[in-house]
Amino acid sequence: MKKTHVKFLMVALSLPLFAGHKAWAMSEPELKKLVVEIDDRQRNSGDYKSTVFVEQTEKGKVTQAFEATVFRRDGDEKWMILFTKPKSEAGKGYLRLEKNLFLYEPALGKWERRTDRSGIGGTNSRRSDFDQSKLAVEYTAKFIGEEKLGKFDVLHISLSAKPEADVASPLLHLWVDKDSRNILKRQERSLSDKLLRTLYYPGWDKKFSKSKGADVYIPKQIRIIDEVEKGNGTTVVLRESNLDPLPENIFTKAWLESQSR
Amino acid sequence: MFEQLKVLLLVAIRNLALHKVKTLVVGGILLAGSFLVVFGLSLLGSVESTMSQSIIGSVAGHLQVYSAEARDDLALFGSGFFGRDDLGEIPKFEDVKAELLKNPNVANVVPLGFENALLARGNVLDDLFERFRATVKSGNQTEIDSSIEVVKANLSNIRSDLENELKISGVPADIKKQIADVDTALSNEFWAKLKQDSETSLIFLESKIAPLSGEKEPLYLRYMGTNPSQFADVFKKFKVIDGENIPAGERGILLSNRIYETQIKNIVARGFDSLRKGLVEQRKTIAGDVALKTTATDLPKQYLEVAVYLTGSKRADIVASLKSFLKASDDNLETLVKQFLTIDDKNFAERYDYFYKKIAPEIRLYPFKVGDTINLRSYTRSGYLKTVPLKIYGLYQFSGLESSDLAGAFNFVDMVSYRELYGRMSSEGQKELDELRKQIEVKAVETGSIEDSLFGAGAQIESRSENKSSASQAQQAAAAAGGGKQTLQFKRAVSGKYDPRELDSGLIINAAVLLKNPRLLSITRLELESQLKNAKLNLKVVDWKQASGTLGQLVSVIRAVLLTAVGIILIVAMAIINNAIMMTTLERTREIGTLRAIGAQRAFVLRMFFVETLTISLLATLAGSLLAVTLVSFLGVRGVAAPSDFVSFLFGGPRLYPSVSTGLAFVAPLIVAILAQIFTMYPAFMASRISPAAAMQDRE
Repeated sequence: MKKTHVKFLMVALSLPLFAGHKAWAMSEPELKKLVVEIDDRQRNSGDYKSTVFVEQTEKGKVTQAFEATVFRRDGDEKWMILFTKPKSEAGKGYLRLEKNLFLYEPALGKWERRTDRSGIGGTNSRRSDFDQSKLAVEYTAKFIGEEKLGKFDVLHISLSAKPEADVASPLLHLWVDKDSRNILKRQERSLSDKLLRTLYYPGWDKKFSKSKGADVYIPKQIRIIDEVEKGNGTTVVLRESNLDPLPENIFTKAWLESQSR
Repeated sequence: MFEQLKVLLLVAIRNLALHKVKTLVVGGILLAGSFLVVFGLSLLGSVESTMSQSIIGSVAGHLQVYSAEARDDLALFGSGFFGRDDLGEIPKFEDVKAELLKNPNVANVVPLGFENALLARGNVLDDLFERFRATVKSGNQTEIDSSIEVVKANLSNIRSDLENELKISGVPADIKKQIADVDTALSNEFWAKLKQDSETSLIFLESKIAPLSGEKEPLYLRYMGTNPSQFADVFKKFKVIDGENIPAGERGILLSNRIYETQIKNIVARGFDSLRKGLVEQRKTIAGDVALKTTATDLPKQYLEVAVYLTGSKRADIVASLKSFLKASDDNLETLVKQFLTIDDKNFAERYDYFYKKIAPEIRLYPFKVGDTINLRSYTRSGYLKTVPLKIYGLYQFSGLESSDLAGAFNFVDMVSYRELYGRMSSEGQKELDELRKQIEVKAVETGSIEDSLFGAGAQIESRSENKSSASQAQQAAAAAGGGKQTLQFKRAVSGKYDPRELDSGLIINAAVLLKNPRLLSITRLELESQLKNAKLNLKVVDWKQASGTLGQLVSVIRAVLLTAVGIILIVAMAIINNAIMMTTLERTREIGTLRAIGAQRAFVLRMFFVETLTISLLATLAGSLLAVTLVSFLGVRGVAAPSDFVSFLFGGPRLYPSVSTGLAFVAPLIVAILAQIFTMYPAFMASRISPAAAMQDRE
């Protein structure tokens, strides 16, 4: 699996969701409550579908771009991606069932199976990257302070991974819009506090989920800045998101194969 | 003069004969030193020569050219460090080639670029279920029924293995869950359901049962992008042994036969091959060799790698044949295979023959063969994984280096596919990308001002949008699945062709330069550096030794170690000579005094000692040299067997045939003799100062 794919999956599938929260004071219990709410809002027990566009920039120059459709069924922990553009990627697909990730290569008409033990798609990404957010379980939060991000007043919080947690980023910083409680900025840092990546969320789509019975927030766009290799970055654009139920038998090899006959 | 020399020689011989122990010690050390120099340097010279042929003749050429902006040194055979080397890039090979060919000593310039690729491999059950899926799809009920029996037989064996595992497992709940899954797959209801809803049953086998056979690590393939036909023309040791070279204008890969046989072949067959090499070629025993014992112990555990391929009538035939061969009564194929694969020193030969005659033709010996297409997956320069399907055009090897892992380390792909795996976009791809970006309308944002651009005035963070109706989404996807309204369906364009001129134009990482006269290598390297600099091409030029990485430095290191050892031996020898002559001088004070009393000049005494040392040193060093020449000549005829596959690369083949440098055979003894003379000077001078009176006093 392309690492680019993995990166957008990490953000597109995690669906960080945030609902309104009027009364706030960053005492420790309230901070904990906020993080629990962040996790809760990411939970989407129903189906999800979205068209995703990903653009990779290397040293300021666009080197790769593709478009895909993402399907997700959180109740069964199933998801599927079908690449539609460009021609060289079209028809390729990924199907997640149980602990397996099946990769489909239409040029060969063949499938490959990987498990989370071997790293997803030969990358160093972990299964946890694809699972729903468990910030409250895996991290200890700390309120840093109120700051200004562009014209927005934001709450800056840091999250340190708990010793037993198997997480991709040991240290996170989040900037949450004080009014709407949407994440606007996220930093991923190493154990030594070295900044690795910065992610910006300039827009959020609010949708009502019937299965959840509440609003779900979906990022419309994510800008990922590689802080190690300066000039490198990824832009993810999510469009036509839909939370309505998908057909029962869609998460199958036969369905994915049928798309590139 | 001649008479005096004769007398001095006789005196020297008499003295050497008189002091036998001293003569033997000094002579022995000088002989050993001379032998070591001539023998060691002759062998080393021969290894250097064969190694240079191996390196130059495989991928390095005489010189290598790469970007001066590279952060790492070029190391074709590995730098000895993990990770990916940063060698920069040469954006326009055509410019570099034109410039290099201006030098009259440059015969050829070959474009290159190398990387590591991943080749994912499923386990035996993945393979079994993949074939089962194809059979189910074919709709041939007879074949489906036969395949079901094979699947069931394998499920029963897996269940039995899990039961054994359960007895020793620390997490029995997991094993019990796996056994329950296998029981589901063994139930009649499961197979009855296959007829109604095959996809659900197949997915169950593929996602729940296949992982029980463990995970095969992906195969890491080192690949080299080049102009395939030019490469074959220039590197004469390169030979395609199966299939054909990648034709110009076609995308494809040539696999290394060494990798094909030692890494890709069926694991049971590899086990037999490895045991054969150890037992027959290296004359080891399973009982006495740890590595062979491990291979033999592991073989029965791989029974599924044989059993899953024996389906239908093959299965019954092999059961009957194995029962007769093993004189066994069991009818279970898997049990028979396990028994057959239990190898020891006594049964190896007949089982090896049986395996290749009876079993190998019935199983899948290689997961892919010449003519198949494989998915080569590699990280692009910016760290993203790129997949390119490539046809296997053939298998190759380098003549004389068939058993070398180093020479067979690369798999060759056409330069156009290399560039795609590297992440370089074709003009067509770039055009498509531009259209896609235009369609999506992604606003370009400067990293430095990104926060103001995204969150400044006018920014709106949140908006509400409605889902499409449920019916719409479900209908849309269902229609796509059923081939109705094809909202997602498309035909994927796959093109394997390109303009052959693309091979020699565009991006490469390094280039091999072949010279008309290799003796002018150093001069040509300097000339090329100057030429490239004048042409404003920021490139480095290195010789084959530097280009081959740590391997190229190996001979220099061995030479340094050998010369250090020889140096130490010589220093010890000279100290002993010096000491021995000093002792002799003291012992012979009366004799020297007497000689001086009867009219011998001081010069005569000096000469007496010099001639004595010269005689022993020349005799000993020439004898050492002669011994070394005889031994090297003998080995030159008989050959020295390479003790390992790595050494066979250094030897340029399975045996090294060393030769003696005539100059070395004479020069080495001469140098040792001169050194001995120098170290004789001080004691000889001391002896010459002995006066007759002193000799008389000594007598008293």
